[in-house]
Amino acid sequence: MSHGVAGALSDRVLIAAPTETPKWLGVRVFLRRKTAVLGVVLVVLNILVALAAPALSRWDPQALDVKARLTAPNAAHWFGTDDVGRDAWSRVIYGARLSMLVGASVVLLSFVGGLFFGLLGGYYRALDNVLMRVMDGLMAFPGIILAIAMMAALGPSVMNVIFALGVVYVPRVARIVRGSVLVIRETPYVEAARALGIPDARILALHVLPNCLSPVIVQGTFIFAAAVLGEAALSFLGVGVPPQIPSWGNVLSEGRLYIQQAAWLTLFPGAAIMLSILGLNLFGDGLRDLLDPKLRGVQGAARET
Amino acid sequence: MHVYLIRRVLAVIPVMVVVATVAFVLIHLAPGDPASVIAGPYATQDDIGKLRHQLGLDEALPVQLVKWYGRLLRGDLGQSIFLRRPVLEAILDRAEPTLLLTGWATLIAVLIGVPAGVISARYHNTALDQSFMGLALLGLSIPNFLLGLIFILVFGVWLRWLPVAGYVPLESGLWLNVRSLLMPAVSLGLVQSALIARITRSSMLDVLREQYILASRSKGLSERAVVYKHALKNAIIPTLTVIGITFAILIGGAVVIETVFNIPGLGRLIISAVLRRDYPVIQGVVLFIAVAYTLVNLAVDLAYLAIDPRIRYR
Repeated sequence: MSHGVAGALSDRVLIAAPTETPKWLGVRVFLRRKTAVLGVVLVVLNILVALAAPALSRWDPQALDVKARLTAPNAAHWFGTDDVGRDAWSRVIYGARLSMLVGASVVLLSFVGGLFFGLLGGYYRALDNVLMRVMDGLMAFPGIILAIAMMAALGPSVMNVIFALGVVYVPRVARIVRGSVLVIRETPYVEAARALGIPDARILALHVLPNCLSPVIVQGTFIFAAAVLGEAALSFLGVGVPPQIPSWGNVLSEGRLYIQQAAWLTLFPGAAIMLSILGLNLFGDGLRDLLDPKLRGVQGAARET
Repeated sequence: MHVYLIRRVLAVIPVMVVVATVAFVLIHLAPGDPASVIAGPYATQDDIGKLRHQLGLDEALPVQLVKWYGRLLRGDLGQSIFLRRPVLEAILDRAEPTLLLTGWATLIAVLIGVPAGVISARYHNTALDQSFMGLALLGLSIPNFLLGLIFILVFGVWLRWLPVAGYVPLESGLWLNVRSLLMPAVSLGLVQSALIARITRSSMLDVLREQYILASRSKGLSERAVVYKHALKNAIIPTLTVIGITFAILIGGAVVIETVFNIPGLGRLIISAVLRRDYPVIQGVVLFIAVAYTLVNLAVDLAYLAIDPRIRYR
């Protein structure tokens, strides 16, 4: 999503002064917001469904049953069946599994890449110019377009979806990290560490890195949401995960062809995506208020897919 | 001001170089020999060799890269392997629906998002504000292609008010064209208006806390004058930046929405090129969109200069 918004975020981070409130006050503030609690509930529910998917369904999400094709929801098939008779309920809950896997992996990948390039760029002025121009260049592609183009070269697979979306979000994380590092490197404690002759790698890992994490963590929830949306969009377009793998985007893509006869193939996976993203957005908003009250009301990254 | 202007315009150059390089790298990202990947599993060695030569893949990588830059500078995006015509021609043929769709969606997003944000800020913490922000949060949680599918279901299948899918080109009449773009543009724009509403609201709230607002209130100006005349002018600036991002999000969204509504635009072009491994077309569309986005952002930044004197005198 929005590198401009991410830019705005990093600008604001500069103003954020360290607060001296006790740790648990923040958590209490977080819990007092009902929306944040709702977010946590939705996210936890999503994770539980993903983990328990095999126990929650009597059907194999890939088992075909052509005789039962396009069956409306009933007692045996809660969400109905698709055009080749696969059970939509089990495809949706296994889809939650895939979404969580893709979301978590993309967040991890973009954190590793973004922290690496952000720390280097922010700390070493010589590298900064080159690195940031490359990041600007990567961000000149709308995320989904870059991901589609990479999927074209890499071919459809879960790993490739994770890689493509990861590459899309590395520059967004790197920008935020760089913004924080630029401020942190001028602080007396970093200067002191440098004067003591502590090697750069150690300063970066022990003194700079921990202090630029909180805006990144907030961004992480929005990247998670964006990755879930991104996977759904790629699979919906037929360039994401292979069609037999249960994924929300794949179910929607099949549902589109039968939208006149089988609305359930659109409505159920659609509701799953919405609840999942809503949960992540609410959770992210709450987390942002907890970690950085100065950012209240500024929207995070969930929109740019 | 001139220094800023020149620097801002020059900053486009490195971005373009990176964009061109990324598009070049794409074709080499494929595992193995790109020519045999493009040709597919049933091609003969001879075909592969011809294709490799046609795409210039038989030369050294640095030579390929330099030739690629040279071609781009001349505006030559190469030949489509599958369509057997210049890529640029194919892109310009398909640009109309995508650009119209993006344009309408942007308009809808701004026309809904900005007033909603302003009203929310004016009636801060009231039921009105909370319901607008609740709606915005809901909007941010629904992917645009899903909203499109739901619109098809409700207005196309159940109510039968609008055609389920398809596109009527502009030359067949403005009304028919707008009608065919109505559902896709609303599903794109509505989702985006949620983001714009949130940003407008928060920047309005920031501005309303400023001293000069207090001053205009204390000299007895009506609330209406304070909010709409004094605060809005300054609050609208962050919203303007968002319009640049909006364009990127919406053109990306348009690519997806086109599949939902069967609109023959750049989105369908790139997706069919992906399925046929028509790399020159993929590279071309990606470049075209990235360049368009960069130029829109440049225009937004320059518009800033015209609107906000604080930047001009910095």
